[in-house]
Amino acid sequence: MPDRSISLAEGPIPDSLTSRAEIAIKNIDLLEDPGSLAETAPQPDMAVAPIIRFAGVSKRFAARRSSDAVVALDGIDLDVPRSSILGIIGRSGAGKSTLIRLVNGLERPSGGRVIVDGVEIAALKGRALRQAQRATGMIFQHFNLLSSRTAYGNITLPLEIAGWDRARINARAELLLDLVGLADKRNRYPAELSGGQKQRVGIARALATSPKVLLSDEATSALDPETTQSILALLTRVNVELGVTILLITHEIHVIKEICHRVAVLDAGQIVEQAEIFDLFARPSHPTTRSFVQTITGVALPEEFAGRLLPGPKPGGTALLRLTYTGEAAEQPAISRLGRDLDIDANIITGQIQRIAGRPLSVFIVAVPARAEAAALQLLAKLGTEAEVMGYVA
Amino acid sequence: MSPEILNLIVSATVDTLRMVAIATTLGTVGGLPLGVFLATSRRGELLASPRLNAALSLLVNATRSTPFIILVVAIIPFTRLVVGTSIGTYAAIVPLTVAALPFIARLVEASVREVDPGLVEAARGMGATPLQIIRKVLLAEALPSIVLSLTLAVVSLIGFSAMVGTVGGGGLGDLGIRFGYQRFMPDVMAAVVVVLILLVQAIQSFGDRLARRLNRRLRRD
Repeated sequence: MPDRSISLAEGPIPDSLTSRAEIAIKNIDLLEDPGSLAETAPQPDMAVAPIIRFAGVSKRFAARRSSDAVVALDGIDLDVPRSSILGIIGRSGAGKSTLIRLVNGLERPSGGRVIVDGVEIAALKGRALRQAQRATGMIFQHFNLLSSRTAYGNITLPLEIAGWDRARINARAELLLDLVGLADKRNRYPAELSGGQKQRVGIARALATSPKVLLSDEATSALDPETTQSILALLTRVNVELGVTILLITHEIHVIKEICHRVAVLDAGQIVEQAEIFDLFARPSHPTTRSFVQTITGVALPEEFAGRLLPGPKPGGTALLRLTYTGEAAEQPAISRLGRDLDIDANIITGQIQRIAGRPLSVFIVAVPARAEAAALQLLAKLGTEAEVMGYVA
Repeated sequence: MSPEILNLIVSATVDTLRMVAIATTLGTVGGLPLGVFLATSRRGELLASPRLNAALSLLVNATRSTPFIILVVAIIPFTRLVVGTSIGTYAAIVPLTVAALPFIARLVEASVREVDPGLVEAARGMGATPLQIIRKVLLAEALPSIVLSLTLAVVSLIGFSAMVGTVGGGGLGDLGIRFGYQRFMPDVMAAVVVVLILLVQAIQSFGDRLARRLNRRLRRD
């Protein structure tokens, strides 16, 4: 898990609020269903059947007068483990929004199957579909709160839709307001709330019917960095304490780094890579992944090197190696070993060390004499450090 | 101004208000659902039925493009059928309603179309029925705008109601034509105009204030 030092409350909300929310959660646990938020086991259990399964899913949008037919998704196979946080990252137009909307039946696949908690959503209609839709909650980039309703009123909407009676709706809504730390904003209209507060209302609303799955559609993309952190912390809490599976889509790699367990990279309607979070950052294989990961692991060649990179070695030239240390290898003094064992000058050009999913990940770009390249690669392999030749300079 | 004339003005005002109130009510009863349907029944929308939408839209346009004074005359047989006569205040309510209904429908359609589609999507994701979405999302969110639309409709109908005076409709327009114009009583004409101005002013500011109170999109501190 990534760094957990971020505070749960947004901005200067006092600690007492957080603890009040925690008490609320304990109270919620004591209540009978459907007052209980925690319907699924809070421990992530990867061995059991995935809660969401995409099997060979495709989605085409038919041609219209103004536009040609579009293949939004193509051959998607993806499992979302129960009680996990899975992130889907992709550029705009990659098909992320379509993908996530297949899960709660807002879109229907053109081919393949989307199975949510054992039920194929596209096979359902009418009442059965609406029933199934209540097992997923969704939050949005622009919150999509009713401007005509207060925070409380927005949270009660899904419960009214589900046909609950007033007393139960009221009890449930108060608990949810506590959970997201907005008990004091109960009667505020969205226009009177900050972006972070609106998204908290959105989260409370999404959790109202005790869903097993929370879908997050760029939920932090309209928020400033600090607020983003507090919302991500709340989502993590929802996952850990309530056991809610979160499927989120984003174009922001730091969101992935911050809260996801697994990640899938979507590019032009296809999943080009999926991995555990650490592996994605440590060993990105697809070019799209690399360019996303690069903004975090941030070790691009400095311009004075990038500008004069050669495809092959020159006599007396220098080879540029990208070294990636993961896990235990991070403890090994690989660079000094290069100098000592090979008797060469290994020069660090740039580098970065950080923790991802709680594990250290270090990336360095090192210059070594081109003649020693083969020996250096051999030594590094022996030390368990991944090395890649980026190019040569004269 | 003689007390008789004053009495005439008062009763004409009452007639006008009665005509407009009844026509607006009936027009809203029909126009509101029609407008909601027009706003939600195109291809891919909540109540998608593109053909019915196109047919109703055509009908609405036909009614709306007929000049009101021609409409009044054209539907005289229908008016007779409904109220038994084509003359008088109640007879005037029929063409007023026929004009108001499609007008209100178009205004409501526009108001409902302004509602953020993201809200409809959110409600659909919650498993809401189309009727729930219409009631709890579309109408609730469009309410301030619908109030302004209805205000506009009432003001327009006051104008229309003056026109039915030419065919024996009663009300302020009738008074203005028969006394102010045909009997050369400019003071009656002036009084009619003043009353109309005050009426429109009062209705507009009432509508504005109500809409503002209902509108929660504005930040209030």
